Amino acid sequence: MFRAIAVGASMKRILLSVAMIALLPGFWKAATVHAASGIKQPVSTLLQKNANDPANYVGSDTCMTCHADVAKSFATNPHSRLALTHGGKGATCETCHGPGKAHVDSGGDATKIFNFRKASAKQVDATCLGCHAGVHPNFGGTPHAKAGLSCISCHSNHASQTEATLLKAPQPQLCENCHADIKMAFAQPFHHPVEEGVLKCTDCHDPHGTSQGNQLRSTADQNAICTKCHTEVAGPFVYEHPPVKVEGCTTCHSPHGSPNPRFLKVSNVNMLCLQCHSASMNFTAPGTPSFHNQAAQYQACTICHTQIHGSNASSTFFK
Amino acid sequence: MTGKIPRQALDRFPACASVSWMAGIGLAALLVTAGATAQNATPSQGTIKDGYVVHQSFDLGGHIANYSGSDAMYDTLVNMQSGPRILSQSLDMHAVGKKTKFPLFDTLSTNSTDYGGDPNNVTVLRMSKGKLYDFRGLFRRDRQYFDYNLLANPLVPAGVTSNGYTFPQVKSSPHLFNTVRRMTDTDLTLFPLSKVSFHAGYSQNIMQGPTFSSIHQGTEALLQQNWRNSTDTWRGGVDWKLFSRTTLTFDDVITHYKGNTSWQLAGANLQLSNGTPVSLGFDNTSLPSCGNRAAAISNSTTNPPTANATCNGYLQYSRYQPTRTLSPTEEVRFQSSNIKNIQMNGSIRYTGASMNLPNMNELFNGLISRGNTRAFTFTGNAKAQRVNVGADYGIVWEITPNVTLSDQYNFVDFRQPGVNDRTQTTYTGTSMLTPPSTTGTTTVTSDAWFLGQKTQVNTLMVSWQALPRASFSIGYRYRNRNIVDRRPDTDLINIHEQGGLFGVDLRPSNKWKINGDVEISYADNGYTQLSPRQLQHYRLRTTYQPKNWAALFVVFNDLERRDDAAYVNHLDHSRAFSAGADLTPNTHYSVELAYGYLDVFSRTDECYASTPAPAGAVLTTSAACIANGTPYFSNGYYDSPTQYGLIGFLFTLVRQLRAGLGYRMTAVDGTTTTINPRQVPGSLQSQYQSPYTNIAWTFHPGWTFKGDWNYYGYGEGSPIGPTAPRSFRGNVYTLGMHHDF
Repeated sequence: MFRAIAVGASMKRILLSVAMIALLPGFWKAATVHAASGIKQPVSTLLQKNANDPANYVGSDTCMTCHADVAKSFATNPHSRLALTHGGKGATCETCHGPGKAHVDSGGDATKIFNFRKASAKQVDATCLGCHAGVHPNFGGTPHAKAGLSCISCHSNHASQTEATLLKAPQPQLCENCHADIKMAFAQPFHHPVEEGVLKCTDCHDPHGTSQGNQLRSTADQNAICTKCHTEVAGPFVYEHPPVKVEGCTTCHSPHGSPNPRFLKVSNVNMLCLQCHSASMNFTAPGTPSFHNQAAQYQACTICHTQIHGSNASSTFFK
Repeated sequence: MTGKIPRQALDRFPACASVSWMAGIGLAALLVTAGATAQNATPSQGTIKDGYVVHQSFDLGGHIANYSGSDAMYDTLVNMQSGPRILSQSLDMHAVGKKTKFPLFDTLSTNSTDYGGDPNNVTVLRMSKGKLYDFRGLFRRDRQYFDYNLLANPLVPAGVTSNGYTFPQVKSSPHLFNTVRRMTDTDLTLFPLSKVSFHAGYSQNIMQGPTFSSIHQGTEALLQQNWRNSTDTWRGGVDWKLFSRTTLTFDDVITHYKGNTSWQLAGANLQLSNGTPVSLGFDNTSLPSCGNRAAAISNSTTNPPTANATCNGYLQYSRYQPTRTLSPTEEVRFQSSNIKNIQMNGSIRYTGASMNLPNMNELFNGLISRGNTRAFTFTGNAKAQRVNVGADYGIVWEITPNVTLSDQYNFVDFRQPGVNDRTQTTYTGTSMLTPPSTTGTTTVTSDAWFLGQKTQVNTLMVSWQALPRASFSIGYRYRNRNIVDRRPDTDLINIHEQGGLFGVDLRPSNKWKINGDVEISYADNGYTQLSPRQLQHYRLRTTYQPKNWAALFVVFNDLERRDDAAYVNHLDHSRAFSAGADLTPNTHYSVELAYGYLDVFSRTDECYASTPAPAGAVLTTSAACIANGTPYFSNGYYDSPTQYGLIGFLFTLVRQLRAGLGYRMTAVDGTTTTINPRQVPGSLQSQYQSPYTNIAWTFHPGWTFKGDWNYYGYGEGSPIGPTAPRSFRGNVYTLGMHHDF
C-alpha cells in the first residue's frame, strides 16, 4: 500500500515538475526585464501631482547636492546600489519620494515632496509595497498593520543597522522595543539562544504575516516551526504522542524561556504528564496506571517514557 | 598568542590564567599604542580598490572565565570558557562603478562571530550581482550542554544500603546533553528583479554528541545515547510576475532526515561473583528485590561490590533504529494587488512524507525477574507517512479610505498512518550467572496506528479609521478541527471554536502611541484536559516619547484559558507586565531602564497513586480515577511569579572612549504541588543575575581596545535535595582588539 502511494505521488511530482520546467522558457520569452529600464512608481507617488510626467523628475544627482549625508550610504544601500552599478537605472531617490522638481524649485520646501516620516502608515505601506508586495503579501491583514505599524516602524532606508534588511536596529533589540514582555522571557535561566545571536525572532515568526497565530512560520510540511531545528521530533512516527501534532509543542513547552529545564511549562515532569494522564471519562488520554507509584519507584515519567515525542517501536514511548 | 589553552589547565589555575591573559592583552595594547596617538574615533570608511569600496574589520582577543559552584549548571546556563577567540570578523565590498575587478559580484558582505571555543558561532555571507543574482548563506553552530540535575533525577535518598554497600545518589541529570547543532542555510535567487526569477536553496542541520538516556526493563538502566540526526533540505522554485503587482510562485522542497542515534549501556558499577560487570539500575530509591530474597549486594568488600545475580539487572544493552524520512512538498502561491483597493494572497501545498525504519534492533542481556527473562532480542521494521494538504487564502479590501475588510481562511489536513512489525525472542533464566536458555520464545506483533487532523480557520475582520488618530477593528474567528486518533481504537473528536476579536490603535499625540487587542473565544470540546474551552487574551502596548531623547513604554499581556468541566477544572494564565525607558539626553550618555513581572499559573485536576500517601493527601471523588486505581487528588497547582529588572548606562565621554555599565536580573519565587516527598522547587525558586561593564577605547583611527566583564550568578532559595547543589558564580572577562580598515 505504501509503495503504491509513494510511486503514484512521485509520478505526479515528476510530471508537475516537468510541466513547470517546460513552461519556464515560455515565461522567460514573454518576460521583459524591467529593472534596468527603471522601476515602476509606487502607489502613493503616483497619486502625487505630475508623477507621470518625466519632466518633473530631477534625478538623484540633484538630490545629492543638498542631501550629501544620505548619499554617503548609497553604496551600501540595496535600493540605490543598482543605480550606482547600472548607470543610474534602478531605485533612486524619486522612486520612493516622488518627483522632486517642485521641491527643488521651491528651494527645498519639505511639503512638496513625499516625506515618509509625516505620512500615514497606509501611505508609507502603499509606497513600499508598490515594489515589495511580492514578498510581503497581505501585510494589511496582519496584526502589525492593525496595530498601526508601517514599514518604517522597523525599517529605515537611510539609517539602517542591518544592510540586508534595512532594519532600524538588529534583532532581537528591534522586536523587543515593543515586545518587552518577550525580552523578559528570554532573560529567564532556560531560554532559546536569541540574545546570544544564534536565533532570530524571524526564524520562528514572520512579522509581515503568516496564516498561523502569533505570525508563526511553519515548516514546508506544515509541521510546527520548532521541528526545523528539532528535527528528531518531526516524525512521522508509528506511535505519535498525539498532542505534539494536534495541539502543538506549546502544550508542554514555553518557547521563549522558562524557569524550568527543557522550557517545560511546569517544574515537575510528573505534574506535567498528570495534567492530561489522569483517568477521565471525557478524554482519550489514558490515565496513569495504579502501579505508577508517585512516591517511590517511578520518579520521573520520562525516565522510562524517554521517546515521549513519538516512537516507531514502542506504543508506550519506551524506545 | 595562538592555540587554545586547555580548559582543564585554566580551571586548575584560574587566577594565574587570568593574570597571564590580562598581561598578554594589556602588553599588546601598550605596544600598539606606543607609537600611536589618540586621534579621531570615526570608524574607517574603507578603501576603494578594484572598483569596490572595501571595508574590513576584526576583533581578536579572548575570554578569561573563572567560576565557582556548580560546573554543571554554569555550563548549562553560560558555558563561556577561557581561551583566545576570533570575537568577530567582517568584510564588505560594494561596487562603486560599472567596472569591477571581479565580475562575479558587485556586493559581497560576510561576517563571523565568536569562533575559537564559544558555544555559539555564526557566519553570514551575502553576495549579489545587480539584477542577476542574490545569494545568502548562513552557518550557525550551537553547543548545548545541559545538566540540570533535577531533571528526570530519581532523587535517590541518602542511605539506601545493602549488606554494607550504599547505593549512590544520582548527582547529575540522567538525561544530560552535550550536543552540537550545526545549521547551514543557503539561498540563491536568479534574476531577482525580472518578471521570471528562480530561487534555489540548500539547508543542512546536523545534531550530534553524547547524551544520557534511560531504559526500563525490570529496573532502569542509564544509557549512553550517541546522538546523530541530520536533515538535508533542497529547495527550488520560480516566481513569475504575471502582472505588475501579481506574482505566482511555485516551490518544491525536499527534506531528507537521517536518524542514526544509537543507545548502549552507559556502564556497570557492580560485578557478579564471577567478575562480570553488572548494573542493578541507577534509580534505586529503595532496595532492589531479588529472586531469592537475598540482599541485593552479596559482598561489598570487593571492588566493585558484588551484586546478587538474581536481581533485576543489566549485563549488556544496545539499540539501533536507523531511520530515514523523505519529505517532499510542492507549493503554489500567489499574491496580487492589481485590483484596485484589494490585496490577495493564497497558497496550495501538498506533502507526502515517508518514514522508513527497515531494521530496528535491540539486545538485552541481564535479568527481568518478573517473567524470568534472561535475555531478549527485538527486531522489526516500521513505516509511517505524513500526507498533508494545505491551502490558505487572504484578502484585504479597502472598502473606503477609512474602512477595511480582511478575511483569512486556512485549511490544513494531515494524515499520518504508521505500521510496524516487531519480533521479540525471549530467553529465560533466573540468574545472571547462568547463560540464557538455548531456545527462545518468539512473539511476532504488528501495529497499524493512525493520527489525522483536519483544521479549518476563518478570520473575518473589519477595521475602521474612525479618526485620523484612532482606528478600531472588530472580527470573528471560527475554527473547526476534526481529529481522528486510532491507537488502535478509533476516537473521533470534533471541536468547534468561535471567537471575537477587538483591536484599537490610538495616537493621542505625535508622541504617544497606544495599541491593544482582545480575543475572546469559546470551544465546544477539548482534545486534552489542557485544551481550553474558554480563552481570553488581552494585550496592550503603549509608547510615549515626551522628548526626542526620551522614550517610555508599557506592555501588558494576559492570556487566560480554562475548562470548567467537572473533574477537569483547568485554569492557566500567563500575565506579563513590563515597563521601561530609554533616555539619551545627549551624545555623552544614555540610560536604559526596564522592569517586568511575569506570572505563569496553571491548575488542573489530577489523580495519582502513591504508597505511602503524601502528607495531607486528599482522596479523589472521580469515579474514573477510583476505577483506575489512582485514588489521590491533586489540583496540579503551579505558579511562577517572576520579576525582571534591567538598568544600563552608556557613556561616551569623548569620541575615543565609550563605556557601559549595567545590571540584569530575573528572580522567580514559585510554588507547586508536591506529591513526591523528595521533590524540591529547584529553579522554581531561583535568582539569576548578571551585572556587566564594558569599555571601548579608540586609541588610533581604526584601532579600538575593548574590555568587557560579565558576572553570572545563579542561586536557589530552596533546599538542594538529594543531588549536587546548583548554584554558581562566574566572571567572564573579554579583552579584544578591534581593527577596521
